[in-house]
Amino acid sequence: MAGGGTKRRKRRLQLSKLYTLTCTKACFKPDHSQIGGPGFSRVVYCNEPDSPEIDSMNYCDNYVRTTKYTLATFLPKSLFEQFRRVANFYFLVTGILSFTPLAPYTAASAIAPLLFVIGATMVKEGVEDWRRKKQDIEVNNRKVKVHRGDGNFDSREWKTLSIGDIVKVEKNEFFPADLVLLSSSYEDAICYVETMNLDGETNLKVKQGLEVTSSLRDDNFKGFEAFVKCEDPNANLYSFVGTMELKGAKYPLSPQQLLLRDSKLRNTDFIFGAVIFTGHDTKVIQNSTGPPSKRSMIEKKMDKIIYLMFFMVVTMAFIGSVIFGVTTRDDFKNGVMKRWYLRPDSSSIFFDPKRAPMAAFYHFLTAVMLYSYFIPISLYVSIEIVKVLQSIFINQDIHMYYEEADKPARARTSNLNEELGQVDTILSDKTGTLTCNSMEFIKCSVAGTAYGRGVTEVEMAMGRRKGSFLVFQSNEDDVEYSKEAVAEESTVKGFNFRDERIMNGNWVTETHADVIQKFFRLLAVCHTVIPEVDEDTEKISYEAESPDEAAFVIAARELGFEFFNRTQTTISVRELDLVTGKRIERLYKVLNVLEFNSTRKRMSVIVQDEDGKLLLLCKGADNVMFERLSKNGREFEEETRDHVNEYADAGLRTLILAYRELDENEYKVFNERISEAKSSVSADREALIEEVTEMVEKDFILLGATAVEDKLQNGVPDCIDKLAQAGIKIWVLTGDKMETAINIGFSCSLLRQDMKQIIINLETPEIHLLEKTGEKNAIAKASKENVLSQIINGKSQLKYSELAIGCASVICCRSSPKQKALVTRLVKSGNGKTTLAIGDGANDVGMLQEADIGVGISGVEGMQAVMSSDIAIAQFRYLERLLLVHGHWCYRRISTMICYFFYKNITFGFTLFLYEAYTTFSSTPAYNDWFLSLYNVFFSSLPVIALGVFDQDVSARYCLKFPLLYQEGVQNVLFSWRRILGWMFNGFYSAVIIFFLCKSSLQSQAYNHDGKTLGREVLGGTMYTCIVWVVNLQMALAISYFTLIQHIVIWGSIVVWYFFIAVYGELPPRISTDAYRVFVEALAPSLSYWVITLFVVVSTLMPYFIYSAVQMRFFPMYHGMIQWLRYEGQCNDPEYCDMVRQRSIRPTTVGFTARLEAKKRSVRRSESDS
Amino acid sequence: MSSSATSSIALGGGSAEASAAKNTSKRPKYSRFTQQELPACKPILTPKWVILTFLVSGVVFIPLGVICLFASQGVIEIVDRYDTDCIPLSARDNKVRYIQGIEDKRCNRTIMVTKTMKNPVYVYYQLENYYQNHRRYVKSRQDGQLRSPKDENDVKSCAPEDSVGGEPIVPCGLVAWSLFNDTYDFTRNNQKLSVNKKGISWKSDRESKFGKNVFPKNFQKGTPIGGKSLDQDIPLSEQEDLIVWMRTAALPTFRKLYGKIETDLQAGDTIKVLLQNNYNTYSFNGKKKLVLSTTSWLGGRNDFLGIAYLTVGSICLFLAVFFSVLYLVKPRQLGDPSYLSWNRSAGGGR
Repeated sequence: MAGGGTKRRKRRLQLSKLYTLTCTKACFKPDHSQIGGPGFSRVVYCNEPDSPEIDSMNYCDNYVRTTKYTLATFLPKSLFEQFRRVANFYFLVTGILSFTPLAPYTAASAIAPLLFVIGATMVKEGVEDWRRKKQDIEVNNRKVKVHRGDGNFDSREWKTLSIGDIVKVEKNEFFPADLVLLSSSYEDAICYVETMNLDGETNLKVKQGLEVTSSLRDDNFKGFEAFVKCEDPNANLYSFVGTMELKGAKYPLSPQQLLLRDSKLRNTDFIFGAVIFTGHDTKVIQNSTGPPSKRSMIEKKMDKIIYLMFFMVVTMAFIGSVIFGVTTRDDFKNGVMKRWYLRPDSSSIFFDPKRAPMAAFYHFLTAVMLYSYFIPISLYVSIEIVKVLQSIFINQDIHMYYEEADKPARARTSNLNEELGQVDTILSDKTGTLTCNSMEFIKCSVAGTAYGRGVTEVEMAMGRRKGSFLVFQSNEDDVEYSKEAVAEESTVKGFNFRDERIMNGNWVTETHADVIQKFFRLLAVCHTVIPEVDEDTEKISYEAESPDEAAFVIAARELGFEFFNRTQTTISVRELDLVTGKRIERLYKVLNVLEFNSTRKRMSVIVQDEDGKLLLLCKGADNVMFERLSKNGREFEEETRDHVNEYADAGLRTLILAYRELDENEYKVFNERISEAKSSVSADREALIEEVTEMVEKDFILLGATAVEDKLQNGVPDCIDKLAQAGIKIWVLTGDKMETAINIGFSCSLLRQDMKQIIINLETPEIHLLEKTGEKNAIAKASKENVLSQIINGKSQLKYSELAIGCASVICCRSSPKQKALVTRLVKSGNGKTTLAIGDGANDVGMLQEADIGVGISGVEGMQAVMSSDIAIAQFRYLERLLLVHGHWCYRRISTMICYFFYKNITFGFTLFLYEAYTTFSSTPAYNDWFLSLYNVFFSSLPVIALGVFDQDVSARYCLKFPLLYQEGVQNVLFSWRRILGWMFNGFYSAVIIFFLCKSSLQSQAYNHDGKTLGREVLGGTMYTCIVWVVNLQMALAISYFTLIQHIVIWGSIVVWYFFIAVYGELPPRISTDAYRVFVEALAPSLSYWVITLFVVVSTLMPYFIYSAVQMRFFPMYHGMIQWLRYEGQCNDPEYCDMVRQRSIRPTTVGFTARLEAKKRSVRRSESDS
Repeated sequence: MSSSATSSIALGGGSAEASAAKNTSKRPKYSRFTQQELPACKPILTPKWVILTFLVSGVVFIPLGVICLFASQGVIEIVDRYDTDCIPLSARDNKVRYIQGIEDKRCNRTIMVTKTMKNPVYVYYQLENYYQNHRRYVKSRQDGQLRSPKDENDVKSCAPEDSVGGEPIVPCGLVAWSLFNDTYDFTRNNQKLSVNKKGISWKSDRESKFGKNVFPKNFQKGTPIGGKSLDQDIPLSEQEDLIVWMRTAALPTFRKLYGKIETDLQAGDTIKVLLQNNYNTYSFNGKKKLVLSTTSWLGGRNDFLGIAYLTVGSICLFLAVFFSVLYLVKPRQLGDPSYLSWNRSAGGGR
């Protein structure tokens, strides 16, 4: 393979020897006895593609489908989806009925809008699914090398893979299916895997194949045969049980041998693996839930309103039918006709007095059709249109465009725009979302002295906000400095350390130069990083398991301790000799590596330096390290502790560095025992090793502490602060270690030192303690996957969610994708409020789909998160604008729009009903057919669409300036039942006023100067004119934002009505029927038409005008208050604004504003104490 | 797979590729429209505007109301209900049998003119409790048949008044069939007052809806007979009584124009009306009234609009004063959080 070019030294390493703990020898565990039993029945014949058993087993192929529809199911399934909407179904029924003689109007006018509505929505669905399909095709057609049967490997598409195939995966490729690792480019079959897409963890995982297969290479596969029995497909990422039968012998398989689909091969040139699970059987697909069709809360509530409207329609129709039935029956009794002009003696079934109940029933259907104008048919389609336009505005927002990656925001589904304005809880992924997954060595404390002037994001944000506060005198110069630092721009990735005292070799002049030397030497030696020297440029790059390890080595290099070579047993470092002042190469013999894991929380190496001194170098978490210090090693403990706390509060990841010298004998004893422990095969082997390491890892001498910044993305603290001020809760769900998660909590200002922390994991059994701790300033952290699943599945669910919801911020660590989704569901169901999940990796897919809104970060990682998200943005910080500005606007627009829609249709529909009362409920429409069906299309729809697209209560600037405005959405004030019913009431009384004023003004008297009296068409025309005026002017009254567009659509709609009635009236009477020339001949020349219009319109709007004048002045809502502020021109006075804002803000508990406040409080307290 | 180029430390970042795609940048175009920053007028209901609105409405409405009321009061209207009085006392216990009988139904009425009525004086008949707007009734006509003789066989919506003995009826349907057939003859001081029946219908009806070459056929030939018969030699476009009747009324109480008296009627005149009481309103307890009325620019007599204008106008003026006082007495405190609805109810969070 790697014939020419760079010779990679690490090839010669038997890496497994370096590791003490993870690479354990395979041994049978109790689980293995279950194989063959229920749940463990899978059988795989490796490398036997033609084996007859494969067909009989019927395992699925490797094609993965994420689309909602297929070509065949699209039509029925999407139609079904459409008619699941009650209103659409209702219109379908009325549409069908309109072809019968029952219809009070023509069929064409009823069915045309429905077809339009359904068609438009289906096209939209189709386009969205097509995008998913394209993504699927891309994934399924990726190439992988598959064994052909004669020792040669061919490139084939992923989708053609089948169970038992031997595949060869090369560096930085994704695994095409779940594989059993057979061998790798390393002799001991080790490989590194990045599982970012699965669990979000960024450190590389080591996997190791079985020893018996580790020698397999390309040619050896000819004739290779193995037989694997294992568990059935399941969603558990961290377990796998199986056996492999090779040449008659059985070997156990564990997760250690399993390579999962969608994880990536790193730092390894190639591996060979046998396909175990394909396609939908793979663990990652099992972990993903199907794409749900999400609906916003408002839309759900809208359904309820529609049910209410149905109820009203049915009630009105029923009342009408009863009266109609009675009067119809009375028309013909005992051969005597009452209303003889209706010929009740010779009637059709619909009006037959002899079969009055039947007639009443048919009348009921007719009435239901007539009153269908109560339910706005154009509501759905208008909302769809509005949402698409809103999405375009979101996509077009220049403030959410990420220059660096050339990525604008993208609303992938437009269904959820208004939901963005109602988010109560944000569930955020950490890596790639809050942080950019790069570690920077930023500060250190050596020998009790703090070094490093780098400024963290949070500090910068706080510095910016400081303004009049004088709390951080100590940081004042740091902030100044940071500006320079930004200007000169750090050139080395992972290194953001600025301190002239120890940089450029200046450290030799410091008082504790020897300690500094030891400190950085430790950093250069104590790690598992592999250097790679580019032979042309002599530059060294490092391959590390985790980015923070790399950061340490880089830091050491930048400060003059260059680690440049590693062999099986040695580490070479170029460093400065304190005595001679020259750079020399030093060789350290690595005797043992006691590596890091989450229980030990430390890592040690035992080395022998050139003088033969045995050193135990150790770095670890503060809580485990401080207790292991020797008495004489505690010289700087006090200062170091202070520094560490300070760093931790700033969200930096700290490690304590310490060392001790070992004497020969002690080491000898240790070495014997550790080899003994390593070679033992019993189950408690790990415990044994643990015990042995405890023996030597003690009596340390403290050197200092390091602080690494898990670099937050741009603007994250600012954004979190704003969101917190808006009253949104933020939870962080991460697959990472608890320590990391807590660090990030601090650096995002989600956590503060003075908060009470509640840590829930298996090690703290006092889960019942939770009950007491509902305090506001508490933080809960659920940790360890088992607990989480217990919490989610078990009885404590309620208690947990109660506790967590009461907490200021919640951080869940070590959560698998499924658990993230479950937590999301828990939050969602726990308080019934809207949740927003934000994440960037494939491991967030479940969470994104489960949450009410899924926001994908279109970052560097794969596209999975974006593909399953509802809205994609490029950076976390855009969330602020997305929610506070677009979310608020969209929520306001949609909710006002829906209210207004029902208002205008009630106003219209109820006049129909009132008129019915004067026709003995015979279902005569008050208006011409086309007036009826075009009401929703021409004369009232454009203003409401303009409202939905353009309306702004306050401008974007004020939305951001007064984040609390967002609470209008969270509390749902604009779409509460009170408001909805209020608008409906407005509709009802408007209809009543319009109808009765028109009716009383237009009684039987002559209508014009010419003595003509009025017919149905005149009353209808006058009433209709009034309605068009009223609903459009009502719109103008209700909004407080008029651009040219608003003026055009509102006044335009009224003009269009006059235009329409004039033009329609000029059409031949065959088409225009009773509207023929009604305007030019009857209405317009008659002065009373105009006088009545003026009077009715003004009187109808008067009550609302009074209401809104009183409300705006005396009971303004929050946006009203901001409007007053703007109007009175006081918003340029910063102090005044701040006062208004502060007074209305609820005390926030997270974010750096809260942190500033807390700091101020503590300063004040200490001042008053002294 | 973007980071596969280098095998160095995976530190994320990923900013290098951006420059390559500069020319096909997805950067949204800036415009005030797409950024939702269009110039806008943002009015709010300030005290000034509120008071001004009320004041203007009041000031406009009150004079308008006065004008309307004057117009309405200027109209002289004489209403004479005759449905009961025109039935002989002997027949009053079964009016329906009387009206359906064949005897002579002439009836004499006397109308006193109290105020001078300038010509033209419009003669109306007013029916009450008569549902011309009933759906069965409204739909029982065939407009095409009225317009052109070609369509005379098209009678599908006219049942049961669609045909007689297989021959189509022109005009068909219940509306035409139930044509009002009372007649009025007016005499003043033994001098006949001529009633002009030309031009009582809408011009558009005469010209476009009722054909000049369409003649009544088989009309009122079936049983039972509904209302008035039509002269078979006069085209429909000239049968103005029918045209007026066919424009169905909006409400169950309605007037229809009978004709115009084109001389002034002086105060104190006594007008005798010889009346043929043929039309059956008795089976459904409908009233029949004869109405003589002049018109104003606003139409007939109806005080409602004038009074309503005055009422609303005064309310507006009152509100203008009320709000002025309110704004003076209770100036709003700016930025007072206690106005916030959720602060009021929730008491500041959990």
